[in-house]
Amino acid sequence: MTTSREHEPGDTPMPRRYVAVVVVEALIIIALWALGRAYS
Amino acid sequence: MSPIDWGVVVVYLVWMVADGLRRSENTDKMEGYFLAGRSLPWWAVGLSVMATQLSAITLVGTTGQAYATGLRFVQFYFGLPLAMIVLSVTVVPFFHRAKVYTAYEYLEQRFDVRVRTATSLLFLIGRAFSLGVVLAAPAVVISAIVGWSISMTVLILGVPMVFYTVFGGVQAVAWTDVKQMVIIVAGLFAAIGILIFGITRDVSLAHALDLAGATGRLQAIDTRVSLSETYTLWSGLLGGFFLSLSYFGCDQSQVQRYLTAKSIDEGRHSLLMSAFVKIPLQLLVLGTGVLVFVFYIFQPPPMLFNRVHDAQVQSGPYAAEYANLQRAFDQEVATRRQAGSGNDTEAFLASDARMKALRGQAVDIVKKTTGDDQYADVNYVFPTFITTHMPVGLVGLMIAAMFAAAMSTAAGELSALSSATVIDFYKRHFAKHETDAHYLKVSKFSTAAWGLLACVVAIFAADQGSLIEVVNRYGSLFYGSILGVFILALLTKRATATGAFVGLLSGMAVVLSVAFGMPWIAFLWHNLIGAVVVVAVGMAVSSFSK
Repeated sequence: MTTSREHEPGDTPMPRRYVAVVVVEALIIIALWALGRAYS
Repeated sequence: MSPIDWGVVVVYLVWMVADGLRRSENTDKMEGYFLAGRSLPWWAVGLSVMATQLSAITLVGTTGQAYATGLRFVQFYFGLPLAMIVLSVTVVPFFHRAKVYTAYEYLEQRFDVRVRTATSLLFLIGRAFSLGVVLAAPAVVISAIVGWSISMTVLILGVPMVFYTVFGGVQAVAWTDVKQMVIIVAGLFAAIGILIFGITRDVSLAHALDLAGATGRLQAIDTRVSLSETYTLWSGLLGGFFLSLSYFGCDQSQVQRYLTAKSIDEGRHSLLMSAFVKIPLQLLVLGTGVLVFVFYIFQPPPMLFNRVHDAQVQSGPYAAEYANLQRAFDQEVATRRQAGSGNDTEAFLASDARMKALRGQAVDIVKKTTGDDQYADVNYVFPTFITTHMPVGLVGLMIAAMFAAAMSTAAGELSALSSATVIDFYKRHFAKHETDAHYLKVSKFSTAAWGLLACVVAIFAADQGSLIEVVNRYGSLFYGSILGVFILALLTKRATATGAFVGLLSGMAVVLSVAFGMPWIAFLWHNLIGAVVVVAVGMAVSSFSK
């Protein structure tokens, strides 16, 4: 059951977007780590 | 600089002032002046948030840092995306529903007037320092290029910015930010294009990366656990997380941005834009600095990038010693270039180390000649590249980008300083029942007064070492403690007003003691220390003061 607050116009939960932020950051850190390893 | 370049800069300045003033039509009420009538779309707020954070210090200081040490500074931003998620879930909807003008206004509702006033005061002190430094960075650049005094350069930069902020309010700030952000990114891509073109005339891009990598400049990630190392993965993730939470969640210069958004979702989207784009953008800036390093392997670099100091030393008491260094340096430039062109990495690194040592000696001579102990030559690297190696027209674009970066940050901070001054002090303590028109007039006066003070601070802050660190060091003295108060306010019901107030004072006392008594602790940790002390002391005192 959802609460009335979750249905408030202009206030939408965005869990997928938050997960995307974490995934993108993790990929960037891994890519930078790999770059450092490749050129050291 | 050619007349065409000056033309580009003048057109930019006139455009910004005209565009800013155009927005003044909608600023006849306080809500319009400080919050744009809570009507802006997420992409404009998002670009404004990023433009406010991407200052000329970022362009000048960060490229210089990357030239000297490589990509490792990017770790500073690793906590930012995670903080944006937390803020999107917590603070954005909260402030939006509370309909506040400043972040600190809420603290009186939750605690009492002491906590609101003390927190807002800390913000004012911290931001006033930073605003001066934010103006000083491009002043350093322009004065080195054209030989103007720092004072004159600060005024040429500051007066138009103050002018459109005073009359256009936050609407002018936000919409000029959008355009300024476009100019900055365009300038960066132009610089990168010229750098790659210049480097690939001598070596392949892959070989250039090999050289940068051999010097450790592509080592972005440092996984060591160390309190004394300024930029590590852990200090970035933890210290940077708390710094970002505090900066974007409790600093009026950022909170005011997303308070202008149309809705909670628009506010969230504006912050998540930074969460996705900030690290890549910062890598773009740092990458530019690394490319400048590689570029100067094959193009003869000056021993000192600040030509004004170079001339001063050549006519000073250490001129003979300096001339000897210059001869050794010129020889080393040729040796390093030869080693860099071939595959002799060992000889290249040895020569690079000798050049670094010679530069260090030259900088010491500058310090002895000028008496400026904080002198940092790295701040002049990128400006020197721009003026000596970029084509006519693009030099003007880059200078305009520097102006844009400085003006967007300074204007945002100016508006925030004014809103905190008027809402948290003037309206709260001195004139509670005046008309909207009266407060609007005072707000404009307050903006102008802060603008004047910022110019004065800028004139004195211009030569304070690596500029990017100056701002972050100042900020980190205050941010953690302010964040601690907001944690007590938003995440606990048990915290009392006295607890929060005593916690805030304790946090500041501990952070200042650590900063001055234990300078080996890197400044990013001050944010964590401040927040933890405020919460711990605040909760302890709250349990006794109920």
